[in-house]
Amino acid sequence: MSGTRILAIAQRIIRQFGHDKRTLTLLFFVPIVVISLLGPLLTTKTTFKIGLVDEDKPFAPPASAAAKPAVPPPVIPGMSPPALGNKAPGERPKPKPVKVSDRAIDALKADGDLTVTVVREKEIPSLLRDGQSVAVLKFPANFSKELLSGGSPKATIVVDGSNPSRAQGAIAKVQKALASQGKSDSKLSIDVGYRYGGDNFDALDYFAPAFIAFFAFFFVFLLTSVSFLRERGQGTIERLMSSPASRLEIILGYQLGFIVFATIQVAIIMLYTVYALKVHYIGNIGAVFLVEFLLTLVGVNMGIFFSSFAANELQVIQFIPIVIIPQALLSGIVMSVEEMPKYFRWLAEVMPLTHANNALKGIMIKGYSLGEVSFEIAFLIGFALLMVVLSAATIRRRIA
Amino acid sequence: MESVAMAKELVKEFKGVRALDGLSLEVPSGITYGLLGPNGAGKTTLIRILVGIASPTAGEAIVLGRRPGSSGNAREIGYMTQLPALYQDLSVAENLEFFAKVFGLEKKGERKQRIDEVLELVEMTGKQDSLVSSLSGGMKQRVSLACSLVHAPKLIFLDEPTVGVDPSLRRAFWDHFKRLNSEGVTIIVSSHVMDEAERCDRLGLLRRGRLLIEGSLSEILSATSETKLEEAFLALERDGLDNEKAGLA
Repeated sequence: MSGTRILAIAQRIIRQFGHDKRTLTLLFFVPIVVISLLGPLLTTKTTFKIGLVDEDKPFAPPASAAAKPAVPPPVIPGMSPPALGNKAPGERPKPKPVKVSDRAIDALKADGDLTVTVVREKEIPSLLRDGQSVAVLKFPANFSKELLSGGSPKATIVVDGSNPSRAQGAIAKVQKALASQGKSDSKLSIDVGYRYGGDNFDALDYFAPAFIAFFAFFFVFLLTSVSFLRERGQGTIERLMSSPASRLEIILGYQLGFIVFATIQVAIIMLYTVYALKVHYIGNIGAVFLVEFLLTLVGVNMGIFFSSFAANELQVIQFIPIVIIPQALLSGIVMSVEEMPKYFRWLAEVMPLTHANNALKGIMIKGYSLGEVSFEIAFLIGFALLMVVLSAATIRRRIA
Repeated sequence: MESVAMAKELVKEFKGVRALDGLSLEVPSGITYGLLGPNGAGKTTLIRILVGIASPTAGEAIVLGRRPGSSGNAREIGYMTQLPALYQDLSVAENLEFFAKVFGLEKKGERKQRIDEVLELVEMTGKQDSLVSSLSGGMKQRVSLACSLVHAPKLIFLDEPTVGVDPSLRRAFWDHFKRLNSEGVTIIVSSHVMDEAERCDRLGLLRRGRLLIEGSLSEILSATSETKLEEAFLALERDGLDNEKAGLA
């Protein structure tokens, strides 16, 4: 094993990319652009335009019913019953007319994520068709009367179901707004404590560690595959294989060259997310770079291995949907692995990016030590070693 | 004369196709040995086995007293592939520097001296900072030869080295090969240009993975009763075909 030869190969890779400014731009600045685009998308609050048809009429409950309601009047989930007067015993109360829907409307208007417009019933179809409202809430004419007489009247909500996630979002928002109004009357209060993260954490805090892993893996895999394919295509691998450099030295040289770029890339992403996007990180930076190092090892060797199955650069690009996209979907970037169907979880568990994500989220969000992510580290080391063996075994493919 | 490369009954099959079919030959030290034959004759396959980057399906080879591909050999062997085999996105000097290091020239001063020497040899002095991708095909060929010679190997394999090289530079290449021979360096060169073959000390004529004949130019001409190598080759090829037909009959 010769350090000079390994260094020579690493230095050559660095020089090659040094001449290729466009690839360097891709490597260092594309992650910043993508994160800048995704950041606002992940953190911007969704707002909903709600139409409201209020046909409810004020109703003055009978004095006896007002003094002692026969049935507690649950109305809309989370909403507390209306105040029905508070007179001293013996005093004959004179009930005031109550319009229950007004309180609900106030609650909806108080929610910053909802824009409420009072409309007439006949406008409902055009509002939903034209997208002026995503949902229309309707209180029927006898809503207060039925409610205050001990009945269970129903308000209805009509949604634009063509976008199911938005429709569900609107329903949830309306229910939440009404529920929060209910809570303000309640004596129950909950102090919320955060074991990890905090109320100032948003989706970007959760996703940022995954971006670091994804970009490093994606670019290292792609660039190694193309670089190695070129080695084969232009015949330099033949010259290298005829030299005293062993297969392991070639692999280590590649590894070392790409580590330099991956490290710079991580540093840029970290600096940008911490200082420009104000992402919260609490973990040990050394541990982050260790995970990154292992992931680069995996990426380089997977790149060498897969390049032996590609005849040209177009075929390397075909590895993106085979190698990259499944990992992007299943490694916990899009959806938490625990929430996936069982068979997807099994797949996710054998993917290196899943374990790199778990480790980075643990270190960066929860402040875990390396010991606490030792399984993930061990998996990455094991996977990297497997890939070293496979890439060394296939390095001569298409030559010998 | 001591032999630097020896092949014995070499067979190489690729997916059922026989590229080498029981080929044997021996190359003495300090000469230029020409491997001649049409495309597909097995010249490149033979060179790759002797260099150590391909393994034979059967038979054996000994190069510089060792099995091909052994680590001791690599430092002493130079190999110029058919393709220029250069990093297109590096400069001429960066390519030479890289291959000099990989082939074991560890001292910076020694490297610089050798790089200057080979640049002069291939008449590329002054072009060392040009990116290889910006060079013409002939220039790339010259740089490729320089990369094969930079570590001063004892045995040099050149796979069609003068393709795309203009006649005056081709002559310069051959003059240099002769100079290397006089310093004890052995050159094994493949070609399908008969004029060039006449400059070789010994020749092996290959066809369909077999050695048709081997010897010096005069030996081959006298054995075939021809006056030109090209005619000799065609005569041998005809005989080969006749023999095959006879065998089939």
